[in-house]
Amino acid sequence: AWRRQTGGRTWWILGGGVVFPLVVLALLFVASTGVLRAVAGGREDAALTIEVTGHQFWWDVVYDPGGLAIRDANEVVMPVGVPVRIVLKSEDVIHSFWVPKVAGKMDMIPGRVNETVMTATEAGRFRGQCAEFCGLSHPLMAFEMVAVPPDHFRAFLEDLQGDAADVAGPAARGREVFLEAGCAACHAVRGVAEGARLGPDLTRVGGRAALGAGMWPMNEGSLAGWIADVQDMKPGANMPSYAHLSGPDLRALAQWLGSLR
Amino acid sequence: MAVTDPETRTPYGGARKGEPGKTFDEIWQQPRGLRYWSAVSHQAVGKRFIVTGFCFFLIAGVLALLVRTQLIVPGNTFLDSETYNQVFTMHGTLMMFLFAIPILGGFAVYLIPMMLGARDLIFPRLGAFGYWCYLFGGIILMSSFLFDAAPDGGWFMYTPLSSNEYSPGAGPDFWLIGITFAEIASVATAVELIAAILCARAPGMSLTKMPIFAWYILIFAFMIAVGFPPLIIGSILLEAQRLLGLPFYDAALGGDPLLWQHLFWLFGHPEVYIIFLPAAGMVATMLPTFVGKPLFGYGFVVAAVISMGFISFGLWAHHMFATGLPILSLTLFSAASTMVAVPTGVQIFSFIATLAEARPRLTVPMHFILGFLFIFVLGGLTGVMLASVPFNLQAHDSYFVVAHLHYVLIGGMVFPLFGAFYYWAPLFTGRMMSEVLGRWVFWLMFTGFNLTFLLMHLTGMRGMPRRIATYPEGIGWDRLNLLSTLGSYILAAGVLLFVVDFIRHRRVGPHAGRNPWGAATLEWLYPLPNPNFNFHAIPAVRSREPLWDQPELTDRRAERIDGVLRGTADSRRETISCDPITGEPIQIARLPHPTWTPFFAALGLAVAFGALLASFYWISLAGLCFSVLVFLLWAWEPSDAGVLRPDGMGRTLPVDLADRRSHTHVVVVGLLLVLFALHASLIFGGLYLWNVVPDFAELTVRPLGLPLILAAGAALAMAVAGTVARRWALSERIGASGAMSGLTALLAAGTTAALGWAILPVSPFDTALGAVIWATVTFVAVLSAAAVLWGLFNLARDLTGATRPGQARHAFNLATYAKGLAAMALATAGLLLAFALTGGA
Amino acid sequence: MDPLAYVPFCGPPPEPGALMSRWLLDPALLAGLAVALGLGLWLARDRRLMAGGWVLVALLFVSPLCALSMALFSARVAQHLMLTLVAAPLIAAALPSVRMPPLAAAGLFAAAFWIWHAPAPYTATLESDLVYWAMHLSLFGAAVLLWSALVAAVREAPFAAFLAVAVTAAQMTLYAVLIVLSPSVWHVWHLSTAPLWGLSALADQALAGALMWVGGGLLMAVSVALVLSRRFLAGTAAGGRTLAAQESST
Repeated sequence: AWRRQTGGRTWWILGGGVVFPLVVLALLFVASTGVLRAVAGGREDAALTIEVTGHQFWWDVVYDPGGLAIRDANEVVMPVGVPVRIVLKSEDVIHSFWVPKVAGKMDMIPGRVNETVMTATEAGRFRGQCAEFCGLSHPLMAFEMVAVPPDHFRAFLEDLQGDAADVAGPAARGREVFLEAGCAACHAVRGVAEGARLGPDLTRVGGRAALGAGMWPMNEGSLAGWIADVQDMKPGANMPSYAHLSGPDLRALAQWLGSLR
Repeated sequence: MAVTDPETRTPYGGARKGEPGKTFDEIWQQPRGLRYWSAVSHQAVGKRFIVTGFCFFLIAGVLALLVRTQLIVPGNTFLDSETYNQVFTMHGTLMMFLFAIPILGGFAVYLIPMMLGARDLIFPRLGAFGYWCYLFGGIILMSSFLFDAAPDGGWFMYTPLSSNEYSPGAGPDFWLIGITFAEIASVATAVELIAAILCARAPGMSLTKMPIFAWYILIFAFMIAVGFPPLIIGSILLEAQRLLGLPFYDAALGGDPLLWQHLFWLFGHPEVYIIFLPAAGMVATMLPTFVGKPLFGYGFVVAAVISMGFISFGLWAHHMFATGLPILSLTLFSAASTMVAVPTGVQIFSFIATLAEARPRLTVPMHFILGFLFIFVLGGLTGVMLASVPFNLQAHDSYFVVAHLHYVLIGGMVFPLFGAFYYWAPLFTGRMMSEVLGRWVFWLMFTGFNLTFLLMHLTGMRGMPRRIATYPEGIGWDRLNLLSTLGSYILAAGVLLFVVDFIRHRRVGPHAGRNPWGAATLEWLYPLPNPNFNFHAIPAVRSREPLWDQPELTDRRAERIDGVLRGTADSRRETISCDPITGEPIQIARLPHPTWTPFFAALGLAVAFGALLASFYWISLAGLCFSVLVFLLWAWEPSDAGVLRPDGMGRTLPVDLADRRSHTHVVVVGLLLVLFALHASLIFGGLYLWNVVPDFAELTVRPLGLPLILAAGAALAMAVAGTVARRWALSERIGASGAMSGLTALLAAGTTAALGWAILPVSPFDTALGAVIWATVTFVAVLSAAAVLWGLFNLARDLTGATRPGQARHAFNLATYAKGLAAMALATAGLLLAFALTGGA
Repeated sequence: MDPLAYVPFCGPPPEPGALMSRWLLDPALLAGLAVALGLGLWLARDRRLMAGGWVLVALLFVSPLCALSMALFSARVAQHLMLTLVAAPLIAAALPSVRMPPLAAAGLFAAAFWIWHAPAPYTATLESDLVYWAMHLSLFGAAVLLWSALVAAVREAPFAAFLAVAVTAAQMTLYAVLIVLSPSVWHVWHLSTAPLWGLSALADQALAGALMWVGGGLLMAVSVALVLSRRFLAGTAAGGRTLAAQESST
């Protein structure tokens, strides 16, 4: 009775609503599983581990080739063509690590450790950004992934291991300001003040392309502006604005920080 | 069945007299002036839901315009970060919780009784109570703006960002309390709709002859009843963490932030379908009218809707692909996520097949239906894209997802809703809205919508994440955002024009007359606007399209149509109540007259919740007690069950029957479904933490074994006592039944006491698992307290002579509740025992 | 624990290459199945359904799936899903129905399901044939009872039947979710057996959970639709029409 009543058009619903999607979905499923295997594979042959920890609103980066924990921040340097194991953690709220041009995102969750493997296929600078809403300055939590040839990467690591270079002239005054103003309570500069981890490691801060977690171009002017005005530039950040520093001190500090690379 | 001798059973002296001396029309008259707000009839409550929901839609729409205005250029300083975060949080929250669900619920409340042939919903006061909870919840949430404490953690409130530590202000409290309150409303409305659809249909309207809209609403209501509890539990736990320091989600004490995400998406995924289903039901109702042919493939659509409801609950994992789930399981989730395309496809193709039956009349509602088909199908396709894991890992939390969800929600819900306004406006006002302005509304909305959101797919593919207040210049997002913002203004203009048209038509719109669209369903039976009683006599139904297939309904004046329960026999509001499956009448259901009880019950709760926000715990407790008192008054109402009456079409029916198929029993089962879902969410939380954070499970002190065994025994005995009370009540041993009800109350208290004793050594503050154990036992204790009240209430009724021979409903329903409670207490005791047996510290 | 200290009923965990030779033609098993078939056909109202259910049960134990389930937990889960969600409803529909409150039957099944899939009892099934058969018989028996109670209740107490289905679906999903998300291996037996198949025990467990979550959910939906819609809609006037729709769409 059913068939007579509906004529021959039941096939339309069954074909269009059931068969067609099932066929298309099956094909899509096979294809996307293939891609997923390719994306997720290579975990075992990753030779290098980089550990990134999310903070409100910056990134703590530790390079770990063979047990050496070398700390840096807000920039992830990677060798081209080598699968890198990226270990993701969070110190406060949930963040998400995302470099659209290199790989999909992975969340950083307090109390948990997530892992992903990324391979940069070409050299270049790629913008990354926190993809999980993490508070007031979530839009200002970016970074750069810098993919370099493997030999450059080795040189970069060697360079990174050293202490901050000694300086003379006005910049040396900047180092005093750094210590006097209490910056070392939160920031480490290897060879000057070590151990503090509440803020980004500044050992090579002047060598980064950007300031404020991938947001502003790095130069002495913006460094001075940043220190005096953090809370305006990045509301909700844990660092207070150091507007009370005198002009010359501020300039010296910025000059010194800019020289760290 | 207790009723045996119709001759001797006349209405009792204690039973309400109704409003003697008034005519049928006067009895059903809506009260006027201030007393209008005491009206509980579905027409009043439905309109209130719709109007309030639409107000929230407008507010949320303005917030959306603020968001778009902020993003119009890079580095904009129109809003600061804090305000922006509040604005997008409230936009999402209002749209999802205070607009979409309530307004759809409102349409259902308004339309379902008219479509099914009932004079009112079968529990009108429950609906009114739901409305007041919703309104007060919404007011609590909106008042956060006054205190400059609007929530700013996103509509998903991920913890730990929403914890005390990272959100010290009251924003999350406003959100959690306001939303939980409003959700109680949704759940109450859902239970009411389930009972109304199953128990109050016109004679002969079997399940398979129900209008398709009723099927959609039935599944919608079931999904709310099961889907909202996880979020309610999640919110209560989060609020308890904020207020009391119980570490449910605190990773430092063995909690897990992901537990919140599981509970949230366990609600959040079905939510999408909860919003889609009633709107699709509207399309399935309007489409046949304009095509002039019945919906093609009714059976397929029903099967598709049921399976959609089923499948949608298993899929929440796909919102969490980026949280680090095992890779191997991701592929299976991905496959499962796409499976929803099948029931969706069946529905869409059935709509298209209906369209192909004949050339449709291109009215304004038809425009919106075509717009729905176009937009929703695109949204469905991007949904399939998102189900693919590698693609999802890129698109997740980017503007691609923003585009997708607006395609699904605006396409799938807002367009049908606007069509529904044009279609059903004559029912509300008796006048037609403008066909000319309506077309303008449609094209403005359609153009604006696509301009805004089509481009967002691209913005997302270019790497723009969601929820960012500003973005840097020159990375390819500028122009797209500018165009999206312009599109949103066009969309808003469309909505504004709709408001103008609606206000205009109430004065100058042409009168609608009778069945202006030539529709097939019963709500168009009477000349418009509909009388408050819906039907003088409730007609028998033999077809799914009664107005097309049953000429006796349309060839005479509406009040002359034959049917059951013509007029009123004893000055009371009443409607016919049927067997849930066959639709055969089984009893006459008494309906309440206007009353303030729902308002005061909700007001007490509002005081309780509001005082909680302000940390006045004593006031909070007082509000709660007041509410319980009002509920008891509400339930005490003298009953005239046990009377037999002719229905006017040759049957003799009992009034307010005590039976499994009776509406009061169905509502108890519906309530149990909700309670099971709440309990299961807590059990899930406990097992989840035990399993995922084993180190802290080891640290958690074990509960005592012996009291757990006692609790299990007491729970079983309680179920038995309740069942015996039912049996004795049915055989009219009133005193003995009352004693058994008292014993049931005693055993419920004993169950709770034993459970409490068992967990005394466990600290709720030391580990998250301990906190969940306490929460679970507290939940059982609250339900037991209800059983105690109920048992004593029954005992009091039996002792004071308020129970007459033939009246067994109160004991009948308590037995079912006691069994459900016993099942939950047993599960709790069993799991705690298993936990106690696994050693530990 | 050494998986080779005791040879479980289905034999030692097989290597991938040797799987196809692992049909289990144990005389006691075959005799038991034969008796069950005779008894089932004698009792059955519908012999075709009974035979279908029996063939499936026989395949689940005689085929190499039984041996595979010694190596992979996911195979064991697949076996149990077929047993409880396909074979059990077939046999329950074939037998005269048992009148039992559906929620009680659902509770019984849930208890059997959780007890036998908890770590300690699960291990016990691999250490004694008696326990192994106690598990399968009680699990299967509880499943048949549940489906039978559902079939019986759907006309008279459709809401209780609906609740029982919801509870069963929810508790099975709950178990599945837990093992998918677990950071540790529940069934230590598979620590040494899963790697034979190139999977870590944790991956095998996650796969098992995902199978149960997704595959189990779909199987359950289809079985419920087929078994119950027939009874549920049979009594309504237009039932035949919608029934045809449901059958051809599932």
